[in-house]
Parts: sequence; structure tokens; C-alpha cells
Amino acid sequence: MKALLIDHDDSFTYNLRNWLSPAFSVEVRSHRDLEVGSQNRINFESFNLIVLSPGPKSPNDYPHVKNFIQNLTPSKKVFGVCLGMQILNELAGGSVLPYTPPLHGKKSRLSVLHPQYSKFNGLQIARYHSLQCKVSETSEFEVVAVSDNDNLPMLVQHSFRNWLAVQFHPESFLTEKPELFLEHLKSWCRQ
Amino acid sequence: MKKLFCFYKNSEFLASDDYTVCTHSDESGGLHSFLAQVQKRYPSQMKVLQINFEAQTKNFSGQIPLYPCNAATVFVLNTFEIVSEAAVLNEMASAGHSEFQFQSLELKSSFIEKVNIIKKEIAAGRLYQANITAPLKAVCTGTAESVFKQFSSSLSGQYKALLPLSDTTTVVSFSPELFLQKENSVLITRPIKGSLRSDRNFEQDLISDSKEDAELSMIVDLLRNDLNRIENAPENALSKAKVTKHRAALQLGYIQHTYSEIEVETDKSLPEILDCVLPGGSISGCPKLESLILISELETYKRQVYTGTIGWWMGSEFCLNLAIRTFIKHDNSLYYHAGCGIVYDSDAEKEWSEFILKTGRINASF
Repeated sequence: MKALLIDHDDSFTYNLRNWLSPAFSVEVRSHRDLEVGSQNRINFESFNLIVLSPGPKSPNDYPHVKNFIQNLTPSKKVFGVCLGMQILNELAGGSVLPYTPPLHGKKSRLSVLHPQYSKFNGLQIARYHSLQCKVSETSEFEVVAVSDNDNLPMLVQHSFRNWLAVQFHPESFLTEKPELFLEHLKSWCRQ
Repeated sequence: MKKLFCFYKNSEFLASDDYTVCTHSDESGGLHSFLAQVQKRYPSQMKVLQINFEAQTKNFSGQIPLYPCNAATVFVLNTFEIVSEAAVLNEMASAGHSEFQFQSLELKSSFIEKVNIIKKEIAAGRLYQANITAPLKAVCTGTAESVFKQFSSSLSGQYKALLPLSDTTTVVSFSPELFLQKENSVLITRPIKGSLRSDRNFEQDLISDSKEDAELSMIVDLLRNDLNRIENAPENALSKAKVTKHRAALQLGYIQHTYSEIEVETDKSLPEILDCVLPGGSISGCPKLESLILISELETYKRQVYTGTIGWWMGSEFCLNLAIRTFIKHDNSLYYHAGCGIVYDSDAEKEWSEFILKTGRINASF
């Protein structure tokens, strides 16, 4: 399977690429290639999965990425990590707000709310975020796992689009059993 | 020619006064092709190199330089000896003693203001960590050799060097930090983050401190990224960066630190590797690109030699330090710098104390 990894000038992009690589042939492209008038057009149709990387700043700083994702057909599979999840959350009707204190290089454990994801319950996860996703009742996102210590959405899935997203960093060395999350992503992509 | 000394294997030094100097002056790029040309021209010779912090970044044109300096210098050694540190010091026996008093070029109030700006930017989501540094300056009429001799035991870093960059400028490094080492096809980096006075308890006051833990952990993930970027074929499990040590102790007498070790297998050459890893993650911040932009907004002076890299290179093997705890002597001026990694949990007063602690043995006033 082929994955397109959109890099938001992040410093963990190649960890993400190497985490994905046992299951996907990964092509890394800059978010700037999604800007209107970019010379480096991406043929995104050929990819089985689009991954939105973590990155600095907030979803509002990447309107071209939001625009690109919004125009994809609902069946297109998209996986968002950290900033990637925040971008998807805004598109799904949620909001993104500052979180105090920010958590960078900190560890939590997953508390799973959905039986389908019970294999992830209690796993240690790495967190790098200053912003949080608010998933309201009217949001198209469903929260399937939260952080055990502060009850923030950590794993969400879209109710009708093929979007899956994590606030934590599956590619970090602080995350326990990263291969389990990859296995899940792989079988989700095959569905 | 003025004799140069550079750390080598097994606590020994390379010493040479017969070398060819190649320099690269362009700060806006071209480091890769400069190093590739040097390697092509002198493939089998031992080289000692020094690369500035700004050599691979484009954001620092507004910063004030402290002294004239090329972006990179390579000493191609025509002949050299491998000598002990005692032999190095013996050669400097007649260098005399220098008296100097350092003055910080950054006021405490300004340093604290900068720490608070970084914390505000972190809270806004712009970045996770930024390394903020400042220079100190002294008048020094003695030689660079006398500076080496005076601090060689008290600063005690493993990666020491004395490099005459020009007739007027000499670098004296006592770096304790390994930036990159390649033997056979294994590439290693050992970032240092987390600092504590040496009279405090390592386990209680450093290892159990969650702020110090996070500060190093995020740099480990950053350096994993930089090493993971080197090889284009990540489906090969060997080319995946591994954390081989995490939060190990480094005791330097005047300060204690935690460091980690990350390694990756690669057959790439030094110029290709440097493209992926410069400037060093532990002295810039995370995410790196954004932290470099913020540093260029906050720091007044160019870092030049400081937080660049110094070391030796021969064929596919090399060992480079991260040029911290480093003096630069230019004419009768002596410079030294210190810096701190700022995260959201950083306390501005404590970071100022850490800044002073890192200048612990050099006779500075603030």
C-alpha cells in the first residue's frame, strides 16, 4: 500500500515515515505542495492513505491543507497525527483551543471508550501538544480513547468519512507498542 | 604553521603543524559541495574540521558577528602525530598564565524576558523547546594555548581541541558533547539535556524531575528524526534509528548532566549526513525549523563557532563534537557562550542560574 505523508515542517516527520514503512511505501511531501499555484502537484489519487504530520502552530496556519482535505471524497482514507488531528477536528465541526499546561515530551496512558479498540487500553503514549481538540455532541468525530490523567481526546474516528486521528505521537520512542497502532492502521486501510 | 590539536580516539589527540587549510565563506549554502570537493581532492588524508552554527541555516543574516570567521574550515593534515593529553599540555608548558574577567553581553533582565517570550510561543503552539544562548567577553592578552592549559582539567569535556582558524582567531574547545561519530557503518549521536549543580543529588534532583525528563526526551525524538532522515530505504530495519541509552549520567565536576544515545546504520558520507542533521538538535530546539526562526528573532549575536561542530574526518569515519563550552580568542578578546533549553515548565530565574552554572569555571561576572 502507498501512503502520502504531508509534512508541516515538523521535526518528527521521518520518525513517522519509518514507523509507517513496514506497512506502507511512503512518499513525504511538503504541505506547501498543496498551496494553490504550487509547481509540485501531487497525484493523490494513487495513494491508499494520506497522513497529516504533526507540526508547529495551529490549523488556521494551514488553510491550504484544510482545503485539500475537505475536497477529498469521503471514502478517501486520512490519518492525522497531533496537528493533523487538530486540522481534521476543525473540518469535522470541532474546535481547537489552547491547553494549559502544554504537554511536550510527556507520557500518559490510553483509556479506551470503544470496545473495538480495547487492545490499546492502558498503553503508554507520547504527548507533544499546546492545543487541544474539543469534540462536541454535534461533531462528526467520535472519541474512542482519551488520556487517563486529563481525559482529553487521544484517538478519534469520523462518523461517515474515512478519517482516523490521534493526538498522541505513535512514532515517538516514548509510545509503547507502536507496532500495534500500525497494525490497526494497516487493517483499517485494507477495509 | 601554528600547531593544532584535536581530540582523537582513546583520549588521545591529533597534533599537526603541517596542514593545508580549505575554507568555505558562504553562509547561505553550499556546505555540502564544499565538503564533497575537499573529500574528492584529499580522499585518504586525515582532516580536522570546524563548521559554524549558521553554516546550514538561512535565518541569521540580521545577527551581529563577534569576530571575522568563515562558515567552515577544513584542515587537511599533511602529517600528524597521535599524542596523549599530557604531551599536549607539555608542549604548552611555556604558554604562561592568562588573567581575564568575563562580562556577559546579555543582561539578566533581557535573558529573562527572552525566556518568557519563548514560553509564550510554546503556549501558543508554535514550538516545544528553544535553546537560547548568549556570549560573554573578556580582555585576554595571553595566548590561546594558555587558555587551553588553564581549563583543561576544570572543564574536563571529552572532546577538546585547539584550532588556529586564522592569524588572529583561535578556537579552544572543551566540549563534553558528542554530535556525530561514525565507525564502520554505525552512526551515533549523544545529545546532552538536563543540568544540575554538582553538589546536588543526581537521582533526586535530576532523574525524578519531569521537566528535565521531557526536555531530553523531545530532543531524543528530534535526533531520531534527523538520523531516520539519512537513509531513503526505511523498509530496511537496520536503517531505523534506535535509542541505545536514555538519561544516562555525565559528571563533569562543575556540573552534571543527563544524556541519551541514538544510533543508526548508514553508508552515507559525511556531507550527506550533515545535510540531514545540521544544526544540532540539542542546541536549536523542536520543531527545529521553527525554533531556528525564533532564535533568530531573539538572539542579538551570531553564534559562529559556538554550537557548531568540531572534529576529525578520515574517509568514511569521523567524530565531531558539538562546540559548547568553547572559547574563541580573537586578537585580545576572548569569547565564551552559554545557553539553556527552554520548555514550557522552565522557570526564568532557574534558567538564568543554569546559564551562570554553565560558565562556572571561567571567572565571569553578571
